[in-house]
Parts: sequence; structure tokens; C-alpha cells
Amino acid sequence: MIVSLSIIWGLVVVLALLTFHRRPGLMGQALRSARAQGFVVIPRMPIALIGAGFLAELLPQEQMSGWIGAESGFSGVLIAVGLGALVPSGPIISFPIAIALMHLGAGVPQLVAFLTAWSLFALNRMLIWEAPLMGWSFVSRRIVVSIPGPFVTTLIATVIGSYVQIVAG
Amino acid sequence: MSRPPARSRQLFDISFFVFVALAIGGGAAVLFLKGQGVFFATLEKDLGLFLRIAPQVAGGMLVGGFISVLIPNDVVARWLGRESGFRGILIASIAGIVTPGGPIISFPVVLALATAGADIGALLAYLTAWSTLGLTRIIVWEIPFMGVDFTLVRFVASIPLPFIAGYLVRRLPPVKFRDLVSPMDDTP
Repeated sequence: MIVSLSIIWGLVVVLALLTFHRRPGLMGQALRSARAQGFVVIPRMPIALIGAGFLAELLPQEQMSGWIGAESGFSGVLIAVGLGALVPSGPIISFPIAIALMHLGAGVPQLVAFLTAWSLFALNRMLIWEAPLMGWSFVSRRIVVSIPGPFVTTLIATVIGSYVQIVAG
Repeated sequence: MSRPPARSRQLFDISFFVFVALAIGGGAAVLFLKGQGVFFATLEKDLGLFLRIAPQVAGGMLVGGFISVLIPNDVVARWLGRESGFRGILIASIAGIVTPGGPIISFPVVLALATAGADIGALLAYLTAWSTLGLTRIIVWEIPFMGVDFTLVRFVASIPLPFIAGYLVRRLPPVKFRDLVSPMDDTP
């Protein structure tokens, strides 16, 4: 957390110096833009985080693993896509879930499907960031064009897997 | 400062109440199904999470603000605009791969690019590349958890995704950016 905080604020300082160097008058414009975005996002964040946290509590985490085993084939991939899309959290939760699924026998294609679907559709990111900042018109289009993603990735990974042994973990 | 009414309208729109309903509904379900202990533990954990990431969020908003004034609109329009074709999608994808940090940085950047006139195909290529190919997450999370072999295969298999998303979205009806918070609003 200290690392990411330092990276972000380091970036802020560098960009502020560049902006000031370009033209000091631009500083006010940049700060107004940041404030306008902050006013939209920051009040929603605690509410969305709490909502996503409650939803995560309600998921049956042990049952999930049985549905997407190495033998589960395309239906396992479909379930993995659905699970990945519904993981209401960031990498702090999704990678531990991926590891748990792997230990319970999930196949590489299912794991690829799970992580790709989570990357593309992560519900909390959509609710906390994308919808407030970009609007639902943008979000809905991104969802539609992202639907082929997990299947394309899983197909390519399966083809690669038929030539070389892929070891996860 | 000049237009506070526009901001307060943005603050409490329908999506805000969707969040409130989601939190109350989820909270009630946890309270009844899992009991008070789990309810308060979850609440405390998520409020703590908010307090920890709020300073990063504030920084991310500033990054977006500075980028919106540093990268002139005509540059964005030339490299990522409506006529940018394959090159626009390629440049946006590479930018997405190297953008450091999580959504705290990437969404303010997308907003800045959108208001500067970037094409929807380039915007989606950027977001798709950032979310499926982003180096920060691969280095910090995926390699430690999943190993190099798995990560490499998933990375290679994901390379087509920004192009698929970018080309498909150019075939859909254009986005209505009604809700967009424009940094240009305050320009006299």
C-alpha cells in the first residue's frame, strides 16, 4: 500500500512539475478537472465497497471449486467466466480464489477463463469507477464487445496447452 | 467554483441510489444469513479499505487532471481520434499495458482521453489492454500467485483482445457521453 501510494503521488508530483513548466495557468484547469471527478467518485466509493463486501460474503466459496474442475470442459469454462465476472473485488480476492480453484483441480483453460472474465467484467470496478466516470452508455458497449474475450483467450491457451505442458502455481 | 449546481446534480443520480440499494440489500442479507458478527466485521473491513485507498484515489484524480491539460486535444485527436484506425488501437493498447497502478489511475486517464476527443475504439483498446495485459498487475499479483508459465500463456492468449474490442465497438452506435464530467466545463 505504501508502495502504490508512493508511485501514485510520485506521478502526481512529476505531472504537476511538467504542467507548471508548460504554463503555470494550466495548474488551475488541471485541479478543477480533478476536483470534478473526485466529487463524483469519492462519495460512491465507501458505499460500493461495503455493498461489494456484503455480496462477497454471500457467495458459496467452497461449492464454486467443484464446478470448474479440469474435467469440466466447456461447461466448466462457462461457469468460470460467470464466476470471474461476478467476483466483486480486486486482485486481493480474485487471485486467492484462482489459487483455491487450482488446488481443487480446476484446469488451466478454466483458470484462464476465470481470470480473463474477472479482468474484463470485474463488477466492483464497473460500479465504483467505470459507471460513475464514463456513464452506462459506455459501460454497456464495453461489456458487449468484451464477451468474446474470455472464449478467445481460453481457446488460444488450450491450443498452446496441446503443444506444451503448462504448469500453474 | 463557477458551476456548483451541475456538480451536485452529478452527485446524486440514479446510479448513486443503485449503490445505496445494493449496500443495504447485501447488508440485510448478510445480517440475516450470517449474523451480527460477520455483518460488523465486513462493514469494518470495507470502511478500513476505503480509508486506506482514499488517498490513492485523490492522487489518481490529480493524475487524470494533469494528463488532460498536458496532452493537447489535437495530439489525442491525431493519434487516437476517429480516423486513427489500426494505429490508434495499437498505440492505445501499448499505453494500457504500461499504465501503472489500478483503476485509480486508468479510469481518470480514459476520461481525460475521451474528453480530449479519443475514438471509442482506442478507448476500449486501452481499457482492455490495461485490464488483461497490464504489466503492474502481472508483476505484483499474477506471477507470484500463478507462476511464470501460466502467466506467459495467459498473456500471449490475451494479445488479440484489445484489437477485438476496439474493432467491434467501432461497429456499434456511438456512445452518448451525457454523463461525462468534462474538464473543459470550467473553461470560460
